[in-house]
Amino acid sequence: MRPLTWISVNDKQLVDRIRSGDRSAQRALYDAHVDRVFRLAYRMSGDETLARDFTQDAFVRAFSRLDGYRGDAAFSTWLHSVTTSVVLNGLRKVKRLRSRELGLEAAHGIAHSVPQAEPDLKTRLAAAVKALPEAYRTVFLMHDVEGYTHREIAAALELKTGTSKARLSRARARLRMDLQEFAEEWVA
Amino acid sequence: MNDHKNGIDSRIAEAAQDLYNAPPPTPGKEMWTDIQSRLESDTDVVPIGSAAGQTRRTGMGRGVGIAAALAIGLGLGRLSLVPTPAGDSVVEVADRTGPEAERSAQPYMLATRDHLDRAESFLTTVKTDRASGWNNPEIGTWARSLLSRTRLLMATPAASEGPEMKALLEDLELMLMQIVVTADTDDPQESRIVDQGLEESGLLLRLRSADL
Repeated sequence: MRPLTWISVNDKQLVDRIRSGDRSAQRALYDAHVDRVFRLAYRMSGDETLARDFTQDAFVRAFSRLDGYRGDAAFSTWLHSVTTSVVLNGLRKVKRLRSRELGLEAAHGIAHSVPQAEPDLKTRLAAAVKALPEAYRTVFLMHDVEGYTHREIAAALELKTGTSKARLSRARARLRMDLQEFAEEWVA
Repeated sequence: MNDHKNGIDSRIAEAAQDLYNAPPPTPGKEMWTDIQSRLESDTDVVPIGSAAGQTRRTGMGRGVGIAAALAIGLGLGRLSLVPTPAGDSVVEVADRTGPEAERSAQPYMLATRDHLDRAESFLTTVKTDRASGWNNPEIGTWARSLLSRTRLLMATPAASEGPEMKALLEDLELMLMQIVVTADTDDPQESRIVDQGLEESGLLLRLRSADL
C-alpha cells in the first residue's frame, strides 16, 4: 500500500490539474478512490443498485463542488465526507418511502414476519447491525468493518474523535449483547 | 482498528467483514461511464480552463443553465427512451400572456413540463405493464434516465416554484429510485411497494395536474 502522504500529495496534484482543465485527472482521482467509496456505500446500503447510485452521486457532487475543497485536509477525507452525506441522506429517503408503504401494508394486515428457528450467525449479525442506531452503525461499519481511522470518521461525519470512539464502544457493546449466544463458540 | 477491542469484538468485526453486506467487485468502469455523462450534462462542474476559486454561476443562473441543458437534451430527443402518449411532447405556453407566459417560457419551466409529461407516460407504462404481468426489461434503464434528470431539475429554480412542486419532484425521485431497485432485484416485496406507491401517492394525478 502506498504511504498516505504520497497519496495526499498525488491527490492534491490531481485536484490542481482538474482545476486547470485537465479532465483526465478526474479519471485518475476517481480510480484512486472509487473502490473505497463503493465498498462503504455497499456496506451501508446492502444493495448494489443503491451503492452504485450513491457512488456516482458522491463523485459527481465532489467534482461539481471541487472549489469547496480547500486542500487543508486530505482529498480522501473530504470525499468521504461527501460520500457519507450522500449515502445517509439517500438511505433516509429510501427508508421514508419504504416505511410509508410498509405502514400501509401493516395497516391492511398484509405485512407479517415469519420467525425463523435458530437463525445462523449471518442472519443474527445482520439483524444486530441493522438494529443499531444509525449513528452507531455508521461508525461501526466504517471503523471495524472497512478500517477507517477515528480521525477519518470524525472528519467525514463532522464529529470529534472522542465522539467517534464513544459511538464505536456503544455499538460494540450492543453487538456483544445481541450476539452473546455465539460468544462461547468464539471464545472456545 | 484494534483499539480497545476485546476478543469477542474482534470476532464480531471479522464476522461482519465477511458476512455483513460484503461488497461485490467494484463496477468502476460502468459507474465512470455514467458519471462522465452526468458531468458533461451538468453545468455545475468546474469548467475546463477555469482557475481555482474563480466565480461560478450560482442560484438562478446555474438552474437555468441546467434546465437549458435539459431542454436541449429534450429537443434532441435524448429522452425519447420513454414513450410519450401521442408523439412529441406538447408544451402549452403559446396561448398564455403576461407574467404567466413569461414564467412559463423560462427554460427550466419548459424542461420541467416536458419532464413531468414523460415521467407521467413512464409511470403509466409501468403501471400497465405490471397490471398485465409483463416484466419489461427496459424499465430499469428508463427509470435511471428519468431519475438522473429529475435530480438535475431538483437543482433548478423549478424545485423552488412552491412546496407542491418540490414535494412532487421529491416523490417522483423516490418512486423512480424504488423502480430502479425493483428492476434489479425482482423481489415481490419491492414490487408491491411500487404498486402501492403508485396507487396511494396519487403521483400520476399530481404529475398530470402540475401547475406550470
